[in-house]
Amino acid sequence: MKRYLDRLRPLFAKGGRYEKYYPIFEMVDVFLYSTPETTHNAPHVRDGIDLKRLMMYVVVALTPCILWSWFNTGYQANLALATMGMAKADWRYDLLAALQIGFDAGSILDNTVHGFLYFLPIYLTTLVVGGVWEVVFSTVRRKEINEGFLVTSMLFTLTLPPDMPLWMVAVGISFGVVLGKEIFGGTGKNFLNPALTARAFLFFAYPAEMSGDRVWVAVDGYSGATALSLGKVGGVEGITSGGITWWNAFIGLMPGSMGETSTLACLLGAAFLIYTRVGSWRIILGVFLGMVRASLLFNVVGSDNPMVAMPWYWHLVLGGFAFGMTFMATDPVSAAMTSAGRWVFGILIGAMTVLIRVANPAFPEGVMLTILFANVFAPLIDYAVIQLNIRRRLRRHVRLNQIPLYPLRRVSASRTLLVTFVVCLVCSVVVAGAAVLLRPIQESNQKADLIRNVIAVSGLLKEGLTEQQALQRIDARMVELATGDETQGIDPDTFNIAKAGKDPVISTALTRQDDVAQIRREPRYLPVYRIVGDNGDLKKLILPVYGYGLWSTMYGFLALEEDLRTVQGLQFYQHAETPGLGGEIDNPKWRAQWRGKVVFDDKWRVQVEVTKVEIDYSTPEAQYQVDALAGATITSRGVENLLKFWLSDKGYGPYLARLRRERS
Amino acid sequence: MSYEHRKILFEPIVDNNPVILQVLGICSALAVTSKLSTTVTMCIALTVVTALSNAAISVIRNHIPSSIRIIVQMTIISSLVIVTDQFLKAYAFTISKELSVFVGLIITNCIVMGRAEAYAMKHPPLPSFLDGLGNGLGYSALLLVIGTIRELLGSGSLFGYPILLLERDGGWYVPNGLLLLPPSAFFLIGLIIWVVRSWKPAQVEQPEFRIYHAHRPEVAS
Amino acid sequence: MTELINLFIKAVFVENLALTFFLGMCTFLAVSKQIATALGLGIAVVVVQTLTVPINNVIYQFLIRDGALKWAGLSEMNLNFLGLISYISVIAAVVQVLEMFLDRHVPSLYNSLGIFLPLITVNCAILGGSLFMVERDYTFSESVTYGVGSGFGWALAIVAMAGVREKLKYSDIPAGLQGLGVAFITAGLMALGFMAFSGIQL
Repeated sequence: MKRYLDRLRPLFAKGGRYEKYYPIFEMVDVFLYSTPETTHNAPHVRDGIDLKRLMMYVVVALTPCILWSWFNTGYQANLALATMGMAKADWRYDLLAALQIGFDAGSILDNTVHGFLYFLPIYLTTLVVGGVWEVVFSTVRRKEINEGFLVTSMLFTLTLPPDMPLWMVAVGISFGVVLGKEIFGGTGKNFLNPALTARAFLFFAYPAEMSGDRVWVAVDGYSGATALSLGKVGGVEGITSGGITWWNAFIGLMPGSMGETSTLACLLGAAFLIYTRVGSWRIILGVFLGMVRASLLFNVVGSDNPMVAMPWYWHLVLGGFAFGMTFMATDPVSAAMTSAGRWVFGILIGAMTVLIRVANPAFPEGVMLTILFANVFAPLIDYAVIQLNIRRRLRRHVRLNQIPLYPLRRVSASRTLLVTFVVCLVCSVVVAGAAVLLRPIQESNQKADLIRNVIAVSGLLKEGLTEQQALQRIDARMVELATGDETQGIDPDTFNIAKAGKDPVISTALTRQDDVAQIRREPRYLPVYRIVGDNGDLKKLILPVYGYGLWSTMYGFLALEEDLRTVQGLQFYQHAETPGLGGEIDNPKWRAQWRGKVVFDDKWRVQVEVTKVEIDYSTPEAQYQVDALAGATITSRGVENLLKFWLSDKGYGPYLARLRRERS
Repeated sequence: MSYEHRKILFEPIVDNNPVILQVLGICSALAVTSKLSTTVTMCIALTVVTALSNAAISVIRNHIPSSIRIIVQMTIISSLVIVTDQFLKAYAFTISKELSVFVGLIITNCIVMGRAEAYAMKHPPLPSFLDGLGNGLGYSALLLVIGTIRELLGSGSLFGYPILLLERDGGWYVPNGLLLLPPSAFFLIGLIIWVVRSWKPAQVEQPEFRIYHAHRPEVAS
Repeated sequence: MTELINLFIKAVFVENLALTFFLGMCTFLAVSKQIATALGLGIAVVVVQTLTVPINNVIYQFLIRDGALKWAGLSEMNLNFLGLISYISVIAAVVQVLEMFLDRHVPSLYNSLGIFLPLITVNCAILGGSLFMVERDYTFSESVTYGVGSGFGWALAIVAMAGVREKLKYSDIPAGLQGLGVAFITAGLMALGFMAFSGIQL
């Protein structure tokens, strides 16, 4: 074989028949046998070690994580199957049955083989797709194929949830390899870690498959929250009551990304990397210390956010922290290169990870994005370190370049003034003219836009009315919230809710405790829209409601039926929630659930629940319950909170009570 | 229309595109392209403003003292933008709501200012008008391409009408959420630059310096 | 006080004008080839932003906003449509005055900052800062904090970008992407890194 390859070599060498395909030949040759020469351009200039050996060391260091990923993926899946009853059939089950391997969560072999069947397709996909891109770029650009992508595809696979659709894996690795690496010239010339780039891409592109509670266990329809998302809601108690002890988390017996769960396996890898000097101990220690410092700081500050109280030894074992610290942060190409810079780089990652975990409700895990962020700043950190060194050594001032500037041409002052005056006059006439002439049209637009939303939520159009007829049925009134009285003197049609909520003249600040909907200030007056019947009696009541979701304040209307208890509809007309997750509050299917729900019980206490648990329709509580949006816990909770707030005595409570009194 | 005029009008569309060659007008290219309807509005507004401001500034170019040049240009441009904004509010209310802050930012859109400074200050009104129009169109061409890609792949629709059936509605397409976020526009513009420059190699920039390869693998055997 | 610190951190990282709102991109891409130049421009932006946002805040509070002219007896007057034109004039004027002042009194600083000043008038990050200030209705002290913070955030972003681009000198980039193309993609990747902050609540 070796001789055969050597004989072929001239064909592929310069001038040979297959000159174009030299890189492919080279890869096969070098992969099977040792390279005929040592590295030409090292991935980082400051080290002479053979690139291939470096990559091999990383793969060896990854071995504990890989093995654990097989075991744990299978273990979690088998556990889930046991709770759900054996229900699923796909090729894995047929294959396992053919091999006579069971689904016993107590058997190491069963678990490992089962998990391996999830790991393998994803890994092969990344390997093939990443490899194809590497070959394409090498062939077109006449370069060697670099084994860097072997490590990249392994790292990438281990950070994914086990049930990831394979085409998404392919799209993700393509993005990471092409835009994160190849266009910069391949391994060693990029500035971001390609595996992380690919993961970040997937995280933003397909959030439903990369976050939430449903993706972490490889069984469809089984919901297993990661320890970190449990912690977000309930702190350490939340995690332990979810059945995960610190030792479980340390060893890695919990749902999560395939290779990230076991801190133990990562630490073994870290020890190996440090021993072989492939990974910088400064970075690893820096990340660790940064994390400890930041979490101690949060512990001291204290607050009602459950994550604030989480001690550092829990931060260490949760999520992808250990994996990121060991394998992602130490990537020699994208990390800082100076010794002092590595400390700064590591501490930045550690501290920011904790910050994001504690203060960012949008992302349960911060470590991957944090490392990307630190990658961005790594060159600057190095630059600063080098500059400081230079300055310390030279102790000499560097002269700034003296750049001559154009002198300003002199023009007489009266002429300047004249031009200014004429320009200002003409411009102001044009601007003022347009503003004054167009204002009536603009105001009627604003009015029409608001009313259109009211009509949409009222359901009148569905009853067969035209927009004009619906308009006649709407009777807008201004209400003073605190007393529940209707007030005159403010035009409800041009009243701007968003603005009123900020204006100190007509709004009052809410205390933290009262501010359930997170709106900070509450307007003293708000418009309500009464839908009246033919003889002026109240048929429906439409109330503007708003509150904070995940990213934005969500503005909407709640329509109540004649009994002031049953929901006719809930519709949001302005928000900026995550498209595909929280943004689904606009989904007609979800909105339809609200219809017919009841928001007050017999004693007129507010009862609303947006629940993640499956609704049991045999219980009386079901009439108050609505399914939460899949993968959008915080948006769902925001909707629940804002309804609770606006229906309470702080909101429309007094007005609703008055309407009920009038009725009886 | 003479050849000269046609050249002024059409050159900025591909050969001298304001966004991908002159590095002008990028902020709005990122901000408004997640939906095609806002993209179109922005394109029209910008083209109108650039053409008119170029013409207006060219008319008075010989009367502007250089010490207050920038302020005068700014005043004219911002008046035009405010008028455009008022018109949008009156006749395209829903769209103007989405453009919100960014209509105001046409004022500092460097295309307007850049063309005023680079062209209108030195040329008569008609060519200046055409130059503004052409640059507006060049900007629009690029924005429309980006807007189409982002809306089609990001939400599976064009102008809000569903084109690709979404998986959650029973179809097959899973929308790519990243394309709705601004960073995706950077990647798209970068890739478009790559495509255009592969097609027209004259636009390729020379690297500041090359790395000399001490020994190339081909030579080694 | 803690609120102002929060606002500052928010303005620098969470709502970074360059990498989360994508303002001032033209200069961001054009003037980020070297760290030293980027630093000069960054400092100039901080200075101008620190001056213009509070000044525009005063103008907004006492002249432009709905009913702001009460002190002059004109409580019905609404000059909203004059907002943009006044803010941009203030910016252009501040830049011009700053240029003259530096020229006369601090020539050394003028020589290092001077060439960047005219660039700043057309930097939409500056106007964007003022418009955000208006939209969020900041008080005067908040507007000072926001001005410093947003300017600093922008400066930090452009210096980081320059750092990355200096590192990319050693890369081997396809001909078609050389220069601007790769700058766009780099900026996109940086923005992806900055997404880590989106949604942080302080």
